[in-house]
Amino acid sequence: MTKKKLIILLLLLSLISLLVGYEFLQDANNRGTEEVADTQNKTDRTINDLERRISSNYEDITLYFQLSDVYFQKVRETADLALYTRIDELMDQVETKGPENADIFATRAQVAAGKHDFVKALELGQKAVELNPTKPSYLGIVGDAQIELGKYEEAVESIQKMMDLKPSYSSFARTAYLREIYGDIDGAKEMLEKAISAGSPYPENIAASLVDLGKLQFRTDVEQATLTFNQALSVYSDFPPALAGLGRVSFAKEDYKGAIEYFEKALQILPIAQYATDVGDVYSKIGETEKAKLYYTLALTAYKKAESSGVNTDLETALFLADHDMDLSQALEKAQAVYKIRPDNIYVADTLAWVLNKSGKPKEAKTYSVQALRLGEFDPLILFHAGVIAGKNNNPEEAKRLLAKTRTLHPYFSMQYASLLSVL
Amino acid sequence: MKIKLIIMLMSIVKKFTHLVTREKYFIGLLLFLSLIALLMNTSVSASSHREAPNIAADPKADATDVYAFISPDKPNTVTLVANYLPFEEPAGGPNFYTFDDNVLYEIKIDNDGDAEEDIAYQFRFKTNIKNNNTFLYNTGPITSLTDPDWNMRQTYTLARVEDGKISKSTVLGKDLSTPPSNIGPKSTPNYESLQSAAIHTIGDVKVFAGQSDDPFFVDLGGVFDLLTIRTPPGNAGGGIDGLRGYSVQSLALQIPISQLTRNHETPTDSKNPAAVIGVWTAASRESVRILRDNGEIKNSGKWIEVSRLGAPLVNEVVIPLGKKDIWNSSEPENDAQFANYVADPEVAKLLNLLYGITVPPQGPFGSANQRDDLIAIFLTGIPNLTNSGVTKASEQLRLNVAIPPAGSPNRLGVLAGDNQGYPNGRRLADDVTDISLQAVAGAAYPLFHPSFTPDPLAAQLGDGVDTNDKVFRTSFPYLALPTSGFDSIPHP
Repeated sequence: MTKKKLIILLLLLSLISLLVGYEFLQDANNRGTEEVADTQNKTDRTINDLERRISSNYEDITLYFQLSDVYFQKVRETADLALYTRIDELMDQVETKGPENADIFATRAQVAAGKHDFVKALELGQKAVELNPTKPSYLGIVGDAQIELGKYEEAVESIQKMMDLKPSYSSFARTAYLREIYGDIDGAKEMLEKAISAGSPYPENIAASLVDLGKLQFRTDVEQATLTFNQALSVYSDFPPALAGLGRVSFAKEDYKGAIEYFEKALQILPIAQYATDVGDVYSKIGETEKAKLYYTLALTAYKKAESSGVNTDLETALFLADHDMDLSQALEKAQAVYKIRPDNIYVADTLAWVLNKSGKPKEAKTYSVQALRLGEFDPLILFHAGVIAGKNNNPEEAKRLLAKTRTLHPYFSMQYASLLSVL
Repeated sequence: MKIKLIIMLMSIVKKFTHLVTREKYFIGLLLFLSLIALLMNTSVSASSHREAPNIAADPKADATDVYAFISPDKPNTVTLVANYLPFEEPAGGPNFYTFDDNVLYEIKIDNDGDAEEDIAYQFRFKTNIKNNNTFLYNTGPITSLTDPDWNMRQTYTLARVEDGKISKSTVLGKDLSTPPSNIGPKSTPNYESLQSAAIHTIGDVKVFAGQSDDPFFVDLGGVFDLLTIRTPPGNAGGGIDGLRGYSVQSLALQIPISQLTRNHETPTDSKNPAAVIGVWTAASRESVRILRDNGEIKNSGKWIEVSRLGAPLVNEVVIPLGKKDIWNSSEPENDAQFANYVADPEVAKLLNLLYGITVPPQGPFGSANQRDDLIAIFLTGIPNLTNSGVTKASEQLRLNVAIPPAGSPNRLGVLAGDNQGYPNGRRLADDVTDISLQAVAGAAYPLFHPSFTPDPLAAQLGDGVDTNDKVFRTSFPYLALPTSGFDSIPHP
């Protein structure tokens, strides 16, 4: 092809993709009003109401915090990180009226957490607690950051304080996560049920907890999980995490066409890297490697986009690259960068272990795998990684034991690797 | 599907690989990818860590109103009502509103004025799921309370506790049924008879727990938007009832007066201190140990109060935002800590600022200028009406059981000369918003300072909403039936 024709081709493609992308963006923005009925509109209604009230009464700072809270909810529903900018603006304005307000620190801490800067989130969260030690939500913010930094004992303390001040949806949900980390799955399910029973003014919150519950049920009871994911959809229609859950359930039942449909739908509503990866993993399973590669490229692009929007995605990207044998040196760089910041987090140690293993360094991998197991042999993915690493370190007995344990805990823990367990 | 289009385009680009040199292909692909990147949503994967919401609201444990009045059709009994779950949309399906099985709901009574509970009625709920393979509320029409088509039947236990001691607890009724939510003519036909089957009689006591029409009426949008009165001064309508069409979860009891008073009698002299009882509701949740010990089943801790309510509008109008958590989890006996907000009210200053009303002098609690009229109304009881002889400040809804039901009740209660009305207890039709606004503006001040003449506007203040959108009924539980989901118009 001549140079001229290549340029024309590229220009043509650019034009088409511009049009496609423009419509795509419109879809993403209109999702709230278009497809979904009044369950989701509450968030938008509240935002509009508060924005209006602020513009006519900018002295009432409580409105700024109420609005920030709703924006955080909107980010949960749309993953639109641009909203963090608006929250920052609101806080800048409140600061001019009284910089030592604990709510400012708490709000900024939540923004930092959303961008995965957990060190900053902890610092700001603790400032808020210092100013008001009896506000339950501040302890929740500090607890969340402590979990991400791998300070699990401190997190338990913080959430216990939160619980003792005010048992609620927020403290039940956090307790569920800590119990899961410590391997008490039944206890985690109990807490999620309490959270769901408590309810929330936002149906999305209940749907999210139902999905968390479904994921735990999925380990031992696929039918129960299917029911729970469907219940999540009944609470919040087309909830992407519930669709993705049904995708995994379909995969477990070997309905690969159905799985792709669910993941594609989730991806259409919420175009995030995880769902693109999920589609790719199903295509890989059924041997359509070219299609799979396209989706992996899409996933990588999504990670880069999030990165350029100010979110630290090193952890997620490192694992993704290693899993799909794409640019292992970049994976290693990222994994080591995260480890430097938060070495005590068992998922961080595990990701570094896995990347090292994939990079042909099983001995080094083992060091970090051991760290990832320091709370106990609870997490299926960590156990799987440990099993493979043991195998690579010429320890077949240990490998067999760990992989068997993985299968006992969660036979469908991964679409990519589950088939490796079936040969045991 | 746009993603499919993007994928298609990407595969087209790949197809041209063999036609161009390697470098040119990569340049092209890079260009293309950066365009895609530019246009993709700015989002991140929600995977490697859990992001649970951090919400302050707890709707099922959120008390909206308390009512206490001598039953008009049974004047030797008191009716107590405590409502929960604000803004309950009638068309709440497919997961309809219920009480929370994990909450301890209580209606408490202080009958000797020491700000501590003497009697508590406790409600504990249990949801009985008929068919575990569905999450539907009902699988067919619910024609009776035991109809198997009602998949999520909620029942409750009612207990009476004396002096706050478990050892003095008596179970009054077990497995008492609530009615189903009012869904519509197919799911819950003959709703009135379904609901009346859920009114239980236990000895001399009647009890009901279930969905009702929200009896409160107030121009929410106006009042809480910096005290906006749509048609000032507010005594000629023009307000919009922000609670119109919503339902609530109601706890209702009808109890012989002698079972509530300190001397176990039915006083007839209103000046008898034993004639005054104080009422409030509280909701509590059990604290939980974050990590369970190995094999240990009992991992719960103590009951933590998460919500409390006595007199109306205290938490909305008197207690500032920063103090609400402390208020909700504190006991009435410690209410002196909030006395400043009553003695030196912000709302009075606003009424002066916005409407030019000459309000009474005010000052911090304990100072000469403190609003002793409001302290009486909210914290200690009005002398010779709702004061039981003790001056310990505590926020309760105080009822004088020796004042019989009024022949012609006036919605403005005591301020209009109807001493059976608010702030003497609270009847469903009492217009507490107007009464509170007028009281804060000084309408009751002459009771304590006879030389003070209230601003003429004070007695005309109101939010312009004078009645509930639905008519109350004439027998227990008196609350109007909830709007069915089918008939309701979802709020915008």
